[in-house]
Amino acid sequence: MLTSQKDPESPYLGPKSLPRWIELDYFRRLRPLRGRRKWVTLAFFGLAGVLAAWSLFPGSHWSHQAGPVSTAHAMFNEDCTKCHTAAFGPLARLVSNDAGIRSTPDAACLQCHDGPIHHETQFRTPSCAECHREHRGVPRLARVADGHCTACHKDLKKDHPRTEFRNVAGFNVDHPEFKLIEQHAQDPTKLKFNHRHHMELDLQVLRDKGAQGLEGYGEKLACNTCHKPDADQRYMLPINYERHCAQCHALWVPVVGRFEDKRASEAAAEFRRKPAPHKEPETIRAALRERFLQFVRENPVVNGTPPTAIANRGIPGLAAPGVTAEQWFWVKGQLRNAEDLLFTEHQLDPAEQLLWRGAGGCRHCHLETPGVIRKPGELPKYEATGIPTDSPRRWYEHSVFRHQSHGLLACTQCHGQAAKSETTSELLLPSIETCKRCHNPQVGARSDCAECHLYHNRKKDRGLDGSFTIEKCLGQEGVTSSASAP
Amino acid sequence: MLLFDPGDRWRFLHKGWATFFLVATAVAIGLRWWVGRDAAESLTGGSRIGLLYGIGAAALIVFTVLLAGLRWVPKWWWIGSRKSWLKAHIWLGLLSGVLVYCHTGGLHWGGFLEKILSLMFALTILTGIFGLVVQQILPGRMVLRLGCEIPYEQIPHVCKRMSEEADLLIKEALSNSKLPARTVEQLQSFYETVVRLCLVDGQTKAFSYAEPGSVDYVFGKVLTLPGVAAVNGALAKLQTMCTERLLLAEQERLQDWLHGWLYLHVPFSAALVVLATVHAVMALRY
Repeated sequence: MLTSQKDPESPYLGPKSLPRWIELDYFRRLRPLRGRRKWVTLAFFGLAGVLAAWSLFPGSHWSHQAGPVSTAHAMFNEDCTKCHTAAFGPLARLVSNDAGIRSTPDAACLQCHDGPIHHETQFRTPSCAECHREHRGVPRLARVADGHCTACHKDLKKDHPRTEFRNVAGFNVDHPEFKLIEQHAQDPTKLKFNHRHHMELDLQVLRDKGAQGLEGYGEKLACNTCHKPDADQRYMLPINYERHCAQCHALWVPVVGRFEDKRASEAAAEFRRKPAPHKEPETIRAALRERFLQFVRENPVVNGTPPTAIANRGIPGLAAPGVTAEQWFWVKGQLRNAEDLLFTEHQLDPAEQLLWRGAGGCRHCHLETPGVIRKPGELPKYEATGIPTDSPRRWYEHSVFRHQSHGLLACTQCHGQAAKSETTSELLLPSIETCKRCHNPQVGARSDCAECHLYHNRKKDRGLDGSFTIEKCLGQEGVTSSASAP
Repeated sequence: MLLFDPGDRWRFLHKGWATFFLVATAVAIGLRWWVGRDAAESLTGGSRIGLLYGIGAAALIVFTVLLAGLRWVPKWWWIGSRKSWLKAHIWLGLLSGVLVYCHTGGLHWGGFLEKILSLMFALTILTGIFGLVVQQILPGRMVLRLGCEIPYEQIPHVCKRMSEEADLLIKEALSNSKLPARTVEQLQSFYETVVRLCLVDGQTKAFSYAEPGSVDYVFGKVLTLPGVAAVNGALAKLQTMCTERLLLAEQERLQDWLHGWLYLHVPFSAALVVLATVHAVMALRY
C-alpha cells in the first residue's frame, strides 16, 4: 500500500478507500504482460507451424535432410521414397534392437546396385545402409568409415580361426607389410630382362653407330618410354613386343650369300630389313620358308630346272607355283641358317646385335622349356612368359591403386629398385613403408581402408543392362515424353 | 524460483535436484561414450542409442512445457506444489539439453529444419537460464530499492488516480487567498511542468528515479517561495506522490526485467514443441 494511501486525515483528499486506488477485481482481467506474451507465443507457434508445413511440401523435403545426398544420388534428392521404402524403419530398429533394420532396406539399394558379398565365409553381412551412410554431404558413399571394416578385421581370427589374413586395426596402426614384399616374392615372368641395362643405355652412342628409330627418345630411356597406363590411368598396360621391343629388338634375318645380280642383291637387302614375325617357332619357320620361297622364285639365285615331284609337294594350303629341287634345297639351307640365328642365339658383339641382328635370337629374351631335349632339326620350345596380353597385371588384387593420382612423383620414388634391377625375377614393387610416408594422418594423404580396398567382390557384379527406364529414374512413370526413344 | 536461501546466501535450496541433474548428466554422457567406443563410426541421432536419447529429451521437453498448463489443473487434483514443478522445470529442462547433446552426437546441427530446431532449443534454454539468474538478483534488489509496491498491472491505474488526486490538491492549494499572485503563478508552472509530468510519465528532467533524493531537493526549493507556507500540507502530499511515482517507475522497470524474458522463453518453447514434433515424426518415419 502506498504511504499516501495511509493518510486518512488528509484535508485535501477526503476519506479514501482502497478501491479508489487499486481495482479490487484487477486479477480477474487479462494481465497486459501476459496478454501480450500470449500473442507473441501464438505468433511463434504459427510461424513454426508454417515452417513445418512448408517442409512437408514437395520440393522442400531437403529441409529435413541431415546433409546433402551423395553426388550419385542427387537426382533422387527430392523423392525420399525412392530409397526410403520402409516406413518407420528407425522406430522398428529401435524396438527390435536390430541394427540391420533401415528405412532404406537392401532391396531399395539393390534395385540399381550390385552388392556382391565380401567373402564367402564372412561372419555377418551388414545391411547396405549400415556402412553406406547417406545425407552426410560426402560425394562418394563408398568411402565408408574404417570402423565398419575393423569391426571384423581387427580381430578376424576370433570368428575365422583359420584365416590367412592377419588382424588389422588401421593402416597406420598395425597393417602388415604387403604380402609379396614380406614373402620376398619374385616376379614369375618367364623372360630375361635387364632394367638397369636399358635405363643406362646411351641412346646417342647408338644413334652415332647408325641405329635407326631412336629419334624422340632423348639421351636415355625413361620409365614411361615403355610403361604406359591403361585408359583409367590406374594400372600399367602389359609390355608388348610389337609396341615396346620390336623397334630395337626386331627379328631381322639375312639371306646368306653373295649375289652378283643387282636385283637379287637389292631383294636380299630388302629381305633383311623385314623382320621375322614375333610368333611361335613353328609360325616363324613357316613364314620364313614362304619368304625364302618367294625370294628364290623371284630372283635368279639358283640355276633353274623344272620343278620336281618333291618340290611340288609344297606347303599345304598354299597356291604358290612350284620350285625346282635346287631352289628348294637353297631355301632349306637359308632356313637352317635363319633358324640357327634365331633359335640357337648366335651371339655377336652386343652393339652389333642391337644394330644388325636384333635381339640376337629368341633366347636373348625367352627361356627354353627346361628338360626338353631337341632332336636335330626340331624347333625349340619356349616357356610362356606369363605376361598378360590384354589387361594390366594386378600384383595386389585385394586393393586398388591409381597411378595417375601419384603422377607428380618420379617413378623411382616408389619403384627405386628398377634402376638397379638386372633380372626379371626381382619384384620392383614399393613396400608399405613407402606408402606410409605420405598416407598418414600427420601428412594428410588419406589412409582409410576404403582408400585402397574394395569391400564388395566386384568379380561377382552382375554387369550392365539394368532394369530401369529413364522415366522410372526420374519418377515420371506414366508420363509420355516426346523425347523418349521410339 | 530462488536457488539460495535469502536469509543464508550459502544455503542451496535445490540440493536434491542438482545432485540428480549431475548424476543423470554423468550417466547419460558416460553411457553414450561406453556405447560409442566400439561403434564403427560416430553415433548419430538415428542410431539406437541416439534415438533413445532423443526420445528421452522429447519426454523431458514435454514435461517442462506442461508447467504452462499447471494453472488450469483443478486445485483438488493434487499433482505436487507449483514450487516442486518449478524446480523440476528448471533441472529437467537443463537435463533435456544434456540428452539433446547426446542425441545429436555432439554439436551436429543436422539439416535446415534441425538447425532451426536446435536454435529454438538453445534460445529456450538460454532465456530460461537468464530468467533464473534475474530471479536470483532482482527480487532482493526490489526489496532494498522499493519502499512500496503494488500489483504490477495496477501501476497505470494507480498513477492515473494519483494524477487526478494531485489535480484536486493543486487546484485547492492555488485557490488559497493567502498566496501571493506571483507565487501562485510559479506554483502553477511548477505543477504543470514538473509534478504532473512526473505523475503521468514517471519521470521528468527534474526528477530521476536513479536519485530519489532529488524530489526532496526540488520540493525544498519550492518551499522557499514567498507565502508558500500556507499550502505546505498540499506540497508535502505532492512530494510524497512524486516520490512514490518514481518508485513505481522503478518497480515497473525491475519487473520488466524480472518477467520480460518470458516474452522470449515461452514463444521459443512453443516453436520448439512444434518443430520437435515434426522432427520426431520425420526422423522416425525415415
